Amino acid sequence: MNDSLFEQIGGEAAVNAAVDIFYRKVLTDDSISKFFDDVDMDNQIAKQKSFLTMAFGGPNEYTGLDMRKAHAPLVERGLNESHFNAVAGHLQATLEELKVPSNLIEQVMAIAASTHDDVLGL
Amino acid sequence: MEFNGQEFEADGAESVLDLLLRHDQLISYSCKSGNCQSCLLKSLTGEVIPAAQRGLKSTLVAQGYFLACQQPAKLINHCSHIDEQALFGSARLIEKHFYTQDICRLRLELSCSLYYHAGQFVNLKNSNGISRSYSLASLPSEDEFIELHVRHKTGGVMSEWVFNEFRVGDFIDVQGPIGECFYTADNPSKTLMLIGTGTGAAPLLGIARDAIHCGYAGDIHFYHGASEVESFYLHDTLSALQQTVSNFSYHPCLSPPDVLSPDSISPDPEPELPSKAYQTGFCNEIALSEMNDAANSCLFICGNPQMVTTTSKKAFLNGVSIKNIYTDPFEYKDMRKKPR
Repeated sequence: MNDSLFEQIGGEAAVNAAVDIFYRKVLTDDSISKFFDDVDMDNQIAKQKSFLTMAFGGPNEYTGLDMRKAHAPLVERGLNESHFNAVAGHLQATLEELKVPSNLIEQVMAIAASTHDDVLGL
Repeated sequence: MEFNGQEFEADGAESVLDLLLRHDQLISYSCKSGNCQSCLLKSLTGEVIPAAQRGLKSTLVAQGYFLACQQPAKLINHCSHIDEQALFGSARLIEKHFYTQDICRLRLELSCSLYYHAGQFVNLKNSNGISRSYSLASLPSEDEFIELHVRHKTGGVMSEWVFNEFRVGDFIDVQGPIGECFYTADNPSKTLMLIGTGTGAAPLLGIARDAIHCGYAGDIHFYHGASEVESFYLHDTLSALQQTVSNFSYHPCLSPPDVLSPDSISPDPEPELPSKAYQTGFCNEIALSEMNDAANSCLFICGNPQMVTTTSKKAFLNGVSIKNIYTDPFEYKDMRKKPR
């Protein structure tokens, strides 16, 4: 099969299905919700949509440096490994909830994992 | 293409973003793929393609907002930054009506027509140079004037001026319309929940009237929160609307007394409302508890900023889609700024 990961997972429709579910999980997780306390929800959802598009192998032009800069203020506030893992866990749970095949979930999680050092400023 | 007072010549099929970056214009951007919405601009004249409005909230689409990274520059004649404010125009006060000692209604006639949606707001600037934001309760399709509701705030520079000095026949400067909290005919069978405290009822009244005017088929529930009975200032208007419009219901909610609040009332017996009794409780909590189909509900939340933030978050967590939550927090002291 020559379809890309993004096409196999369902493209933009999949992103749209996932974003509300994913963001709800993040907001109700007390270990990370503080990072989202004062943000504009519309704004945040757009960012989450961008992140999921990238994680699903979709079109984006983010560089490692973009991820670094975007998360630097959070790193200053104490963003660390446990928070990264919490968010990754919610991404996985969201995909499982949407019954995405496990081989595709694996690929998405690999992309998400590849952002680790840039997100945490390491 | 005109932008920021300058003319730019599009090269082939390049996007508005690429064109402007090529000329060193200061534009925010990030993903360059039409997802993050950092590069939002506003089209004034020209043709916006659907891909450049994908994922945008209905109220942004209605105002001609577009994603600069997705829009071919060739098709746009004139565009601007999204928070570029219109100039101030002039308006004349034609009516000043006191609902209560503390809340008045202003009706203003504009020197040139304002293309607005009920629920947006305008900035009023008086002769002393004081500027404040007030939401629009009027309907452009039905009213020859714009209508604002002003609450007298102790020590409030503008509201004191409005109450004590602003007279019928006086002129004032008006800037706008601004804001994204208004009715759009996306899905006329969802349940509309309008939730507001104090003069947050003003934009909600406009929104309700707008929906009804457009033949709204779904249920409309108006929850008005007040900390004293006198502050149900639209009681007559909303009760009448409930009588005449079968799918509209009015729910006055009296907030439980808070002894720490400087605005709290003394524990004297409350005067009874002439017609319907009110519920006791916070309007937002009552509304959320009575909401029975979150996925098919559309919320408009106006007034106290903390109430607005808490309620929108709770509504989302309870299953309301973000694109169906519209907010208008009444920040005092400064003109409303909505950072993007």
